[in-house]
Amino acid sequence: MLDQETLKIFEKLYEETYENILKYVVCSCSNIEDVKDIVQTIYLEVIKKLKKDASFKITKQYIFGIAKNKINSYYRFNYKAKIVSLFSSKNNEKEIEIIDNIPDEFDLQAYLINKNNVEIIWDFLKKKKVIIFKIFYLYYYCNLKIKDIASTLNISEANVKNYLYRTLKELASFMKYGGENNV
Amino acid sequence: MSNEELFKKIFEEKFNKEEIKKEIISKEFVKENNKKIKLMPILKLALAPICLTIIIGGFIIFGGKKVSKPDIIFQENNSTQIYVNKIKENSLARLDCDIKTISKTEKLDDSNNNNTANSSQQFEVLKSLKVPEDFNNIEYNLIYVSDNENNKTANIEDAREKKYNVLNNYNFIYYNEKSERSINISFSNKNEPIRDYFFIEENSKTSKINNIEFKIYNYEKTYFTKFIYNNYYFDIETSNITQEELITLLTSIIN
Repeated sequence: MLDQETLKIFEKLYEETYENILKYVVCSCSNIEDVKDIVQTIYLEVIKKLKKDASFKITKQYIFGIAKNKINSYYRFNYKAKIVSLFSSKNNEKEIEIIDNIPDEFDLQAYLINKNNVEIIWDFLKKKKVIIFKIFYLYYYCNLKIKDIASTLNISEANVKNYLYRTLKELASFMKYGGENNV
Repeated sequence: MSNEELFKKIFEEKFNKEEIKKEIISKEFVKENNKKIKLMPILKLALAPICLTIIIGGFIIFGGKKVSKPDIIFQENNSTQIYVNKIKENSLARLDCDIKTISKTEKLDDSNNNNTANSSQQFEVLKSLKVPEDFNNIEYNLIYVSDNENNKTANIEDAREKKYNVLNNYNFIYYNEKSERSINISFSNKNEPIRDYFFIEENSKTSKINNIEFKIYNYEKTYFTKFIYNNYYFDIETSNITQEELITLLTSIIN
Protein backbone atom coordinates (compact mmCIF):
# COMPACT_ATOMS: atom_id res chain seq x y z
CA MET A 1 0.00 0.00 0.00
CA LEU A 2 1.25 3.47 -0.85
CA ASP A 3 1.11 5.01 2.63
CA GLN A 4 1.43 8.68 3.46
CA GLU A 5 5.06 8.37 4.53
CA THR A 6 6.08 6.67 1.27
CA LEU A 7 4.09 9.20 -0.71
CA LYS A 8 5.88 12.04 1.07
CA ILE A 9 9.32 10.60 0.35
CA PHE A 10 8.31 9.99 -3.27
CA GLU A 11 7.04 13.55 -3.70
CA LYS A 12 10.29 14.94 -2.29
CA LEU A 13 12.41 12.80 -4.60
CA TYR A 14 10.17 13.69 -7.54
CA GLU A 15 10.47 17.38 -6.75
CA GLU A 16 14.27 17.16 -6.53
CA THR A 17 14.86 15.10 -9.63
CA TYR A 18 12.01 15.70 -12.11
CA GLU A 19 13.66 18.39 -14.25
CA ASN A 20 16.93 16.49 -14.60
CA ILE A 21 15.21 13.19 -15.30
CA LEU A 22 12.96 14.83 -17.87
CA LYS A 23 15.99 16.37 -19.55
CA TYR A 24 17.77 13.02 -19.55
CA VAL A 25 14.76 11.26 -21.07
CA VAL A 26 14.15 13.93 -23.71
CA CYS A 27 17.81 13.82 -24.74
CA SER A 28 17.92 10.02 -24.80
CA CYS A 29 14.63 9.12 -26.42
CA SER A 30 14.13 8.53 -30.09
CA ASN A 31 10.46 9.48 -30.14
CA ILE A 32 9.08 12.50 -28.30
CA GLU A 33 5.72 10.77 -27.85
CA ASP A 34 7.43 8.31 -25.50
CA VAL A 35 8.80 10.87 -23.06
CA LYS A 36 5.87 10.97 -20.64
CA ASP A 37 5.52 7.21 -20.61
CA ILE A 38 9.17 6.67 -19.86
CA VAL A 39 9.25 9.31 -17.10
CA GLN A 40 6.22 7.67 -15.48
CA THR A 41 7.77 4.22 -15.71
CA ILE A 42 10.93 5.51 -14.01
CA TYR A 43 9.05 7.00 -11.07
CA LEU A 44 6.78 3.97 -10.75
CA GLU A 45 9.96 1.97 -10.26
CA VAL A 46 11.04 4.45 -7.57
CA ILE A 47 7.71 3.91 -5.77
CA LYS A 48 8.14 0.16 -6.08
CA LYS A 49 11.57 0.38 -4.47
CA LEU A 50 10.29 2.65 -1.70
CA LYS A 51 7.45 0.26 -0.94
CA LYS A 52 9.74 -2.74 -0.88
CA ASP A 53 12.30 -1.27 1.46
CA ALA A 54 11.40 1.94 3.23
CA SER A 55 14.81 2.17 4.82
CA PHE A 56 16.64 2.11 1.49
CA LYS A 57 18.16 5.51 0.76
CA ILE A 58 17.23 6.44 -2.79
CA THR A 59 19.70 8.91 -4.21
CA LYS A 60 19.55 10.99 -7.38
CA GLN A 61 22.20 8.73 -8.88
CA TYR A 62 20.03 5.72 -8.13
CA ILE A 63 17.10 7.30 -9.97
CA PHE A 64 19.35 8.04 -12.93
CA GLY A 65 20.37 4.39 -12.88
CA ILE A 66 16.70 3.41 -13.08
CA ALA A 67 16.22 5.93 -15.90
CA LYS A 68 19.04 4.46 -17.92
CA ASN A 69 17.68 0.93 -17.54
CA LYS A 70 14.12 1.96 -18.27
CA ILE A 71 15.05 3.80 -21.44
CA ASN A 72 16.98 0.81 -22.68
CA SER A 73 14.26 -1.69 -21.86
CA TYR A 74 11.52 0.60 -23.18
CA TYR A 75 13.04 0.62 -26.61
CA ARG A 76 14.10 -3.00 -26.45
CA PHE A 77 10.60 -4.23 -25.72
CA ASN A 78 8.38 -1.62 -27.30
CA TYR A 79 10.16 -0.96 -30.54
CA LYS A 80 12.71 -3.70 -30.82
CA ALA A 81 15.08 -0.98 -31.87
CA LYS A 82 18.39 -0.37 -30.26
CA ILE A 83 18.69 3.04 -28.64
CA VAL A 84 21.37 5.24 -30.11
CA SER A 85 22.95 7.33 -27.42
CA LEU A 86 23.31 10.95 -28.34
CA PHE A 87 26.00 11.35 -25.74
CA SER A 88 28.52 8.93 -27.07
CA SER A 89 28.43 8.90 -30.83
CA LYS A 90 30.18 11.25 -33.14
CA ASN A 91 28.25 9.80 -36.06
CA ASN A 92 25.32 12.11 -35.48
CA GLU A 93 27.14 14.86 -37.30
CA LYS A 94 26.98 12.92 -40.52
CA GLU A 95 23.21 12.83 -40.49
CA ILE A 96 22.88 16.57 -40.19
CA GLU A 97 22.65 18.52 -43.34
CA ILE A 98 23.81 22.11 -43.11
CA ILE A 99 21.70 24.28 -45.36
CA ASP A 100 22.18 27.79 -44.11
CA ASN A 101 25.35 29.45 -43.08
CA ILE A 102 24.20 31.20 -39.97
CA PRO A 103 26.34 34.06 -38.70
CA ASP A 104 27.38 33.94 -35.03
CA GLU A 105 25.37 37.03 -34.20
CA PHE A 106 22.12 35.74 -35.71
CA ASP A 107 18.96 37.06 -34.11
CA LEU A 108 16.42 34.44 -33.07
CA GLN A 109 13.87 37.14 -32.30
CA ALA A 110 13.87 38.08 -35.98
CA TYR A 111 11.28 35.36 -36.42
CA LEU A 112 8.89 36.10 -33.65
CA ILE A 113 6.12 33.56 -33.31
CA ASN A 114 3.38 35.91 -32.39
CA LYS A 115 0.48 33.51 -32.52
CA ASN A 116 0.07 31.99 -29.16
CA ASN A 117 -1.27 28.60 -30.13
CA VAL A 118 0.31 25.86 -28.07
CA GLU A 119 -1.25 22.91 -29.86
CA ILE A 120 -0.29 24.03 -33.37
CA ILE A 121 3.31 24.80 -32.43
CA TRP A 122 3.59 21.59 -30.45
CA ASP A 123 2.35 19.55 -33.42
CA PHE A 124 4.72 21.42 -35.71
CA LEU A 125 7.70 20.64 -33.47
CA LYS A 126 6.72 17.01 -33.02
CA LYS A 127 6.70 16.49 -36.76
CA LYS A 128 10.25 17.75 -37.05
CA LYS A 129 13.34 15.59 -36.61
CA VAL A 130 13.69 14.56 -32.99
CA ILE A 131 17.03 16.41 -32.78
CA ILE A 132 15.22 19.69 -33.53
CA PHE A 133 12.73 19.05 -30.76
CA LYS A 134 15.60 18.38 -28.38
CA ILE A 135 17.38 21.57 -29.36
CA PHE A 136 14.24 23.66 -28.80
CA TYR A 137 13.63 21.98 -25.46
CA LEU A 138 17.20 22.52 -24.27
CA TYR A 139 17.38 26.08 -25.55
CA TYR A 140 14.02 27.43 -24.46
CA TYR A 141 13.04 25.22 -21.53
CA CYS A 142 16.40 24.36 -19.97
CA ASN A 143 17.95 27.71 -20.90
CA LEU A 144 21.10 26.04 -22.13
CA LYS A 145 23.54 28.00 -24.25
CA ILE A 146 24.16 26.89 -27.81
CA LYS A 147 27.62 25.70 -26.85
CA ASP A 148 26.16 23.50 -24.08
CA ILE A 149 23.43 22.14 -26.33
CA ALA A 150 26.05 21.19 -28.88
CA SER A 151 28.04 19.41 -26.23
CA THR A 152 24.97 17.67 -24.73
CA LEU A 153 23.71 16.42 -28.08
CA ASN A 154 27.18 15.81 -29.42
CA ILE A 155 26.72 17.94 -32.53
CA SER A 156 28.46 21.10 -33.66
CA GLU A 157 27.41 24.57 -32.52
CA ALA A 158 26.86 25.49 -36.17
CA ASN A 159 24.30 22.74 -36.48
CA VAL A 160 22.48 23.79 -33.34
CA LYS A 161 22.25 27.34 -34.69
CA ASN A 162 21.17 26.07 -38.08
CA TYR A 163 18.37 23.98 -36.70
CA LEU A 164 17.16 26.73 -34.39
CA TYR A 165 17.26 29.43 -37.03
CA ARG A 166 15.83 27.35 -39.84
CA THR A 167 13.00 25.89 -37.77
CA LEU A 168 12.01 29.26 -36.31
CA LYS A 169 11.96 30.76 -39.80
CA GLU A 170 9.83 27.88 -41.05
CA LEU A 171 7.51 28.07 -38.05
CA ALA A 172 7.08 31.83 -38.40
CA SER A 173 6.17 31.38 -42.04
CA PHE A 174 3.88 28.45 -41.25
CA MET A 175 2.02 30.47 -38.62
CA LYS A 176 1.84 33.53 -40.84
CA TYR A 177 0.47 31.72 -43.86
CA GLY A 178 -2.36 29.77 -42.44
CA GLY A 179 -0.68 27.38 -40.02
CA GLU A 180 -3.76 27.35 -37.91
CA ASN A 181 -5.99 26.53 -40.85
CA ASN A 182 -3.77 23.71 -41.94
CA VAL A 183 -3.87 21.89 -38.67
CA MET B 1 5.00 37.17 -25.69
CA SER B 2 8.60 36.51 -26.69
CA ASN B 3 9.71 33.27 -28.30
CA GLU B 4 11.41 32.35 -25.04
CA GLU B 5 8.20 32.77 -23.08
CA LEU B 6 6.10 31.04 -25.71
CA PHE B 7 8.25 27.91 -26.00
CA LYS B 8 8.77 27.76 -22.26
CA LYS B 9 5.01 27.82 -21.85
CA ILE B 10 4.56 25.07 -24.42
CA PHE B 11 7.08 22.74 -22.79
CA GLU B 12 5.75 23.49 -19.32
CA GLU B 13 2.28 22.65 -20.48
CA LYS B 14 3.18 19.51 -22.38
CA PHE B 15 5.57 18.12 -19.75
CA ASN B 16 3.58 19.40 -16.82
CA LYS B 17 5.30 18.26 -13.67
CA GLU B 18 2.20 18.15 -11.49
CA GLU B 19 0.07 16.41 -14.12
CA ILE B 20 2.71 13.76 -14.68
CA LYS B 21 3.00 13.22 -10.92
CA LYS B 22 -0.75 12.78 -10.62
CA GLU B 23 -0.70 10.24 -13.43
CA ILE B 24 2.11 8.29 -11.76
CA ILE B 25 0.22 8.15 -8.46
CA SER B 26 -3.00 7.17 -10.19
CA LYS B 27 -1.23 4.42 -12.13
CA GLU B 28 0.25 3.15 -8.89
CA PHE B 29 -3.24 3.19 -7.40
CA VAL B 30 -4.71 1.21 -10.31
CA LYS B 31 -1.80 -1.23 -10.10
CA GLU B 32 -2.37 -1.76 -6.39
CA ASN B 33 -6.06 -2.14 -6.88
CA ASN B 34 -5.52 -4.84 -9.47
CA LYS B 35 -2.89 -6.53 -7.36
CA LYS B 36 -5.26 -6.69 -4.42
CA ILE B 37 -7.64 -8.74 -6.49
CA LYS B 38 -5.06 -10.77 -8.29
CA LEU B 39 -2.99 -11.81 -5.31
CA MET B 40 -5.70 -13.37 -3.23
CA PRO B 41 -4.44 -16.37 -1.21
CA ILE B 42 -5.36 -19.06 -3.68
CA LEU B 43 -3.53 -17.25 -6.42
CA LYS B 44 -0.38 -16.79 -4.37
CA LEU B 45 0.06 -20.55 -4.50
CA ALA B 46 -0.04 -20.34 -8.24
CA LEU B 47 2.41 -17.47 -8.61
CA ALA B 48 5.05 -19.41 -10.51
CA PRO B 49 2.73 -20.53 -13.31
CA ILE B 50 1.28 -16.99 -13.50
CA CYS B 51 4.71 -15.50 -14.21
CA LEU B 52 5.02 -17.83 -17.13
CA THR B 53 1.53 -17.23 -18.44
CA ILE B 54 2.09 -13.47 -18.61
CA ILE B 55 4.53 -14.27 -21.36
CA ILE B 56 2.89 -17.15 -23.12
CA GLY B 57 -0.71 -16.45 -22.19
CA GLY B 58 -3.68 -18.72 -22.10
CA PHE B 59 -3.49 -20.51 -18.75
CA ILE B 60 -6.64 -20.69 -16.71
CA ILE B 61 -6.60 -21.13 -12.96
CA PHE B 62 -9.80 -21.92 -11.13
CA GLY B 63 -10.70 -20.78 -7.67
CA GLY B 64 -13.19 -22.10 -5.17
CA LYS B 65 -16.70 -20.76 -4.66
CA LYS B 66 -17.90 -18.77 -1.69
CA VAL B 67 -20.78 -16.49 -2.56
CA SER B 68 -23.04 -15.60 0.31
CA LYS B 69 -26.81 -15.38 -0.08
CA PRO B 70 -27.47 -12.16 -1.97
CA ASP B 71 -29.80 -9.41 -0.76
CA ILE B 72 -31.88 -7.33 -3.06
CA ILE B 73 -30.62 -3.74 -2.99
CA PHE B 74 -32.91 -2.12 -5.52
CA GLN B 75 -36.26 -2.92 -7.08
CA GLU B 76 -38.23 -0.60 -9.30
CA ASN B 77 -40.60 -3.10 -10.85
CA ASN B 78 -40.48 -6.69 -12.09
CA SER B 79 -38.20 -5.77 -14.94
CA THR B 80 -35.64 -4.00 -12.72
CA GLN B 81 -34.24 -5.81 -9.71
CA ILE B 82 -30.71 -5.57 -8.46
CA TYR B 83 -28.95 -8.10 -6.26
CA VAL B 84 -25.39 -7.98 -5.07
CA ASN B 85 -23.59 -11.29 -4.67
CA LYS B 86 -21.08 -10.79 -1.90
CA ILE B 87 -17.92 -12.78 -2.26
CA LYS B 88 -16.62 -14.03 1.05
CA GLU B 89 -13.28 -15.53 0.12
CA ASN B 90 -11.26 -17.02 -2.65
CA SER B 91 -13.95 -17.20 -5.27
CA LEU B 92 -11.92 -15.40 -7.88
CA ALA B 93 -10.33 -17.27 -10.68
CA ARG B 94 -7.78 -15.89 -13.00
CA LEU B 95 -7.13 -15.96 -16.69
CA ASP B 96 -3.84 -14.51 -17.80
CA CYS B 97 -4.05 -12.73 -21.07
CA ASP B 98 -1.50 -11.74 -23.61
CA ILE B 99 -2.48 -8.18 -24.47
CA LYS B 100 -1.13 -4.77 -25.33
CA THR B 101 -2.67 -1.58 -23.97
CA ILE B 102 -2.49 1.85 -25.56
CA SER B 103 -3.46 4.51 -23.02
CA LYS B 104 -4.37 8.18 -22.93
CA THR B 105 -5.42 10.28 -19.98
CA GLU B 106 -7.47 13.43 -20.01
CA LYS B 107 -9.27 15.79 -17.72
CA LEU B 108 -13.06 15.89 -17.90
CA ASP B 109 -14.50 19.20 -18.92
CA ASP B 110 -15.69 21.18 -15.88
CA SER B 111 -18.58 22.55 -17.87
CA ASN B 112 -19.93 19.06 -18.26
CA ASN B 113 -22.36 19.14 -15.39
CA ASN B 114 -23.64 15.63 -15.46
CA ASN B 115 -20.13 14.19 -15.74
CA THR B 116 -20.72 12.49 -19.01
CA ALA B 117 -17.27 11.75 -20.39
CA ASN B 118 -16.24 13.74 -23.46
CA SER B 119 -14.14 10.98 -24.87
CA SER B 120 -16.84 8.45 -24.39
CA GLN B 121 -19.39 10.54 -26.27
CA GLN B 122 -18.00 9.28 -29.51
CA PHE B 123 -19.42 5.94 -28.51
CA GLU B 124 -23.15 6.07 -28.90
CA VAL B 125 -23.53 3.24 -26.43
CA LEU B 126 -22.12 5.41 -23.60
CA LYS B 127 -23.95 8.58 -24.50
CA SER B 128 -25.99 8.64 -21.27
CA LEU B 129 -23.29 7.39 -18.97
CA LYS B 130 -23.41 8.87 -15.48
CA VAL B 131 -20.44 8.66 -13.17
CA PRO B 132 -20.15 10.29 -9.72
CA GLU B 133 -19.62 14.05 -9.71
CA ASP B 134 -16.15 13.90 -8.22
CA PHE B 135 -14.82 11.68 -11.02
CA ASN B 136 -12.83 14.35 -12.81
CA ASN B 137 -10.35 12.20 -14.69
CA ILE B 138 -10.56 9.65 -17.41
CA GLU B 139 -8.04 7.25 -18.82
CA TYR B 140 -9.00 5.46 -22.00
CA ASN B 141 -7.32 2.41 -23.35
CA LEU B 142 -7.39 0.31 -26.46
CA ILE B 143 -6.84 -3.34 -25.69
CA TYR B 144 -5.13 -5.26 -28.44
CA VAL B 145 -4.55 -8.97 -28.67
CA SER B 146 -2.37 -10.80 -31.10
CA ASP B 147 -3.71 -12.68 -34.02
CA ASN B 148 -3.09 -16.19 -32.71
CA GLU B 149 -2.91 -17.85 -36.07
CA ASN B 150 -0.13 -15.62 -37.28
CA ASN B 151 1.68 -15.29 -33.99
CA LYS B 152 2.18 -18.79 -32.75
CA THR B 153 5.30 -18.75 -30.69
CA ALA B 154 7.37 -21.18 -28.73
CA ASN B 155 9.70 -19.12 -26.61
CA ILE B 156 10.12 -15.80 -24.79
CA GLU B 157 12.20 -14.11 -27.46
CA ASP B 158 9.59 -14.91 -30.09
CA ALA B 159 6.83 -13.73 -27.76
CA ARG B 160 8.37 -10.26 -27.65
CA GLU B 161 8.21 -10.14 -31.44
CA LYS B 162 4.48 -10.74 -31.41
CA LYS B 163 2.26 -8.29 -33.21
CA TYR B 164 -0.76 -7.06 -31.32
CA ASN B 165 -2.90 -6.30 -34.30
CA VAL B 166 -6.45 -7.17 -33.25
CA LEU B 167 -8.43 -4.57 -31.33
CA ASN B 168 -10.31 -6.57 -28.73
CA ASN B 169 -12.13 -3.89 -26.76
CA TYR B 170 -12.20 -0.33 -25.48
CA ASN B 171 -11.59 0.50 -21.86
CA PHE B 172 -12.48 3.69 -19.96
CA ILE B 173 -11.35 4.33 -16.40
CA TYR B 174 -12.99 7.21 -14.56
CA TYR B 175 -11.50 8.25 -11.24
CA ASN B 176 -11.53 11.04 -8.71
CA GLU B 177 -8.74 13.53 -8.03
CA LYS B 178 -7.09 11.42 -5.34
CA SER B 179 -7.46 8.26 -7.42
CA GLU B 180 -9.12 6.54 -4.50
CA ARG B 181 -12.45 5.87 -6.28
CA SER B 182 -12.74 4.52 -9.78
CA ILE B 183 -15.02 2.99 -12.38
CA ASN B 184 -13.50 0.79 -15.03
CA ILE B 185 -15.70 0.12 -18.09
CA SER B 186 -14.61 -2.23 -20.85
CA PHE B 187 -16.79 -2.76 -23.89
CA SER B 188 -16.87 -3.94 -27.45
CA ASN B 189 -19.49 -4.77 -30.04
CA LYS B 190 -17.34 -7.58 -31.39
CA ASN B 191 -15.63 -9.35 -28.54
CA GLU B 192 -16.16 -9.98 -24.90
CA PRO B 193 -13.75 -7.63 -23.08
CA ILE B 194 -10.70 -9.29 -21.68
CA ARG B 195 -10.65 -9.56 -17.95
CA ASP B 196 -7.96 -11.42 -16.06
CA TYR B 197 -10.21 -13.02 -13.47
CA PHE B 198 -13.69 -14.46 -13.26
CA PHE B 199 -16.04 -16.06 -10.78
CA ILE B 200 -17.46 -19.43 -10.14
CA GLU B 201 -21.12 -18.65 -10.42
CA GLU B 202 -22.88 -21.17 -8.18
CA ASN B 203 -25.33 -19.69 -5.66
CA SER B 204 -25.21 -16.29 -7.29
CA LYS B 205 -28.38 -14.42 -8.08
CA THR B 206 -29.22 -12.65 -11.33
CA SER B 207 -30.07 -8.96 -11.43
CA LYS B 208 -31.96 -7.25 -14.21
CA ILE B 209 -32.54 -3.76 -15.51
CA ASN B 210 -35.28 -3.41 -18.10
CA ASN B 211 -35.13 -7.20 -18.36
CA ILE B 212 -31.44 -7.17 -19.31
CA GLU B 213 -30.00 -9.86 -17.08
CA PHE B 214 -26.59 -9.81 -15.42
CA LYS B 215 -24.86 -10.69 -12.17
CA ILE B 216 -23.18 -8.28 -9.77
CA TYR B 217 -20.43 -9.42 -7.46
CA ASN B 218 -18.98 -7.51 -4.55
CA TYR B 219 -15.65 -8.10 -2.87
CA GLU B 220 -14.65 -5.64 -0.16
CA LYS B 221 -14.97 -2.20 -1.85
CA THR B 222 -15.16 -3.53 -5.38
CA TYR B 223 -18.19 -4.33 -7.52
CA PHE B 224 -17.91 -6.38 -10.70
CA THR B 225 -20.42 -7.11 -13.40
CA LYS B 226 -20.70 -7.95 -17.06
CA PHE B 227 -23.61 -8.01 -19.48
CA ILE B 228 -24.64 -7.60 -23.10
CA TYR B 229 -26.68 -4.56 -24.04
CA ASN B 230 -27.50 -3.13 -27.48
CA ASN B 231 -25.20 -5.72 -29.03
CA TYR B 232 -22.28 -4.50 -26.93
CA TYR B 233 -20.40 -6.62 -24.45
CA PHE B 234 -19.79 -4.69 -21.22
CA ASP B 235 -17.50 -5.52 -18.35
CA ILE B 236 -17.52 -3.16 -15.36
CA GLU B 237 -15.41 -3.02 -12.25
CA THR B 238 -15.75 -0.28 -9.65
CA SER B 239 -13.71 0.62 -6.64
CA ASN B 240 -14.92 2.46 -3.57
CA ILE B 241 -18.26 3.63 -4.95
CA THR B 242 -21.59 3.33 -3.15
CA GLN B 243 -24.43 1.00 -4.10
CA GLU B 244 -26.46 4.05 -5.14
CA GLU B 245 -23.68 5.20 -7.44
CA LEU B 246 -23.46 1.72 -8.87
CA ILE B 247 -27.18 1.67 -9.59
CA THR B 248 -27.02 5.12 -11.20
CA LEU B 249 -24.13 3.95 -13.36
CA LEU B 250 -25.83 0.75 -14.50
CA THR B 251 -29.19 2.37 -15.17
CA SER B 252 -27.48 5.10 -17.17
CA ILE B 253 -26.00 2.48 -19.50
CA ILE B 254 -29.00 0.17 -19.65
CA ASN B 255 -31.82 2.61 -20.26
